[in-house]
Amino acid sequence: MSGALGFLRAPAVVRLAGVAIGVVFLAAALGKIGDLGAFATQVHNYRLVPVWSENLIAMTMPWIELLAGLALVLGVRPRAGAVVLLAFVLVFTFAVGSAWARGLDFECGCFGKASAATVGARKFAENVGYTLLAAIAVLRTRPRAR
Amino acid sequence: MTNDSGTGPETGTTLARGVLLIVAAGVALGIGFNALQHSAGSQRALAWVGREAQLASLEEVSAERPTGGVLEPGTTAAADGADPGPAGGAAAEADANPAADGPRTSEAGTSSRPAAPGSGPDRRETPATRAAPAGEAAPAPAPGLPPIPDTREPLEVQYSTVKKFHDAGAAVFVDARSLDEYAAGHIAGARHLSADAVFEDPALAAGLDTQGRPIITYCSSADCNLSRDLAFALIEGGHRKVLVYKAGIAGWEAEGQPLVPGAAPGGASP
Repeated sequence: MSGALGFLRAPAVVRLAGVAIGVVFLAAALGKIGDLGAFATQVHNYRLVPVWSENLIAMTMPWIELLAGLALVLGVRPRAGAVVLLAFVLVFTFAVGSAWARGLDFECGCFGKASAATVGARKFAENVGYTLLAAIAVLRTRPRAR
Repeated sequence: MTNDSGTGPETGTTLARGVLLIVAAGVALGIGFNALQHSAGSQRALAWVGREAQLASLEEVSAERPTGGVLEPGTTAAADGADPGPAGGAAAEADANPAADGPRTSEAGTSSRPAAPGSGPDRRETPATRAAPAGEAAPAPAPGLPPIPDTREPLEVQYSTVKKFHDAGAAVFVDARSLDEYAAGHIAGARHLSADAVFEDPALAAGLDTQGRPIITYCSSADCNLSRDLAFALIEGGHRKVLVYKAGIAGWEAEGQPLVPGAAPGGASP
């Protein structure tokens, strides 16, 4: 266990995971910013937040994703970026899972209009994968010298 | 940054500060970006406060078309000439945004809960009072009852009209609330079909036998959305004359109308 964790905490692994999840979120953020109205509709479809707050979420969330993704890709405050993205990906996984459980069938809105993927088992599995990536990126890297 | 990857004592604070910075900057950027779009008059700007799209009202639609039972294809409620007074609201938007109407886009088509983006005037769906390709074989409406156009969006309906339909037994009333709430008291004759059940099994919507009568959905009060959600689901299920009694149970009681307890429809109207 400690061996596996040690490997995951290697600076290169943490960095790589961070860049990977960062790139995913950059793409997602740009897709959403490109059509905020569509994203607002998708937020609405989940029916998880009060209607009045849907637009505020739709207009700010993609920008937070963008900054956190940039932080990870550029290596500026990467752990802070990773924490933000981990929080997002957990929320998304919950949202997709709950929509899937409720039998709702709509575009997940995960990448804005760029992806027509609907919520479901596959999207859920994808989100679990992202969660793992973000979790690795959050890890404190192993000190080089002990 | 070295703090972020190290094990120094201030790592926690630095991390929290970084997270806060990213979130605050993101929120500021998002709000600023939207404000810019607003000031530029962009169609893409989002309303600051989201809200449900307004439904057109049956009373307004039938006032504009006193004789027409079915609107012509391509005719929106607002396209029928001069618009008297407050009827303007939703109808004028239909005129301003005709492209949002018509065949469902892939976006809405894959959704079991279509429409209602609630994202400001520029994103609203229009009141699609268009003729449906295959309308139900509607019997002639009883005298005094307004004709209901076949629509692809539910129409809101006021108490006075609801009462007329109820007294004439000319509409199928559907209670969109939970079974417990229904059993505690419902409009006499109303059937129970919870919005949640329909979302789990859309076949329930298609299976509702109306014998050609219009459907009136309701929930607890003007603040609930179940009646509206159910109405959209019923239209998805193929029904074409679907009305929403927005005031719901609260409005019905406020007018002094009795409620019928029990799990059976009860009352005179089927």
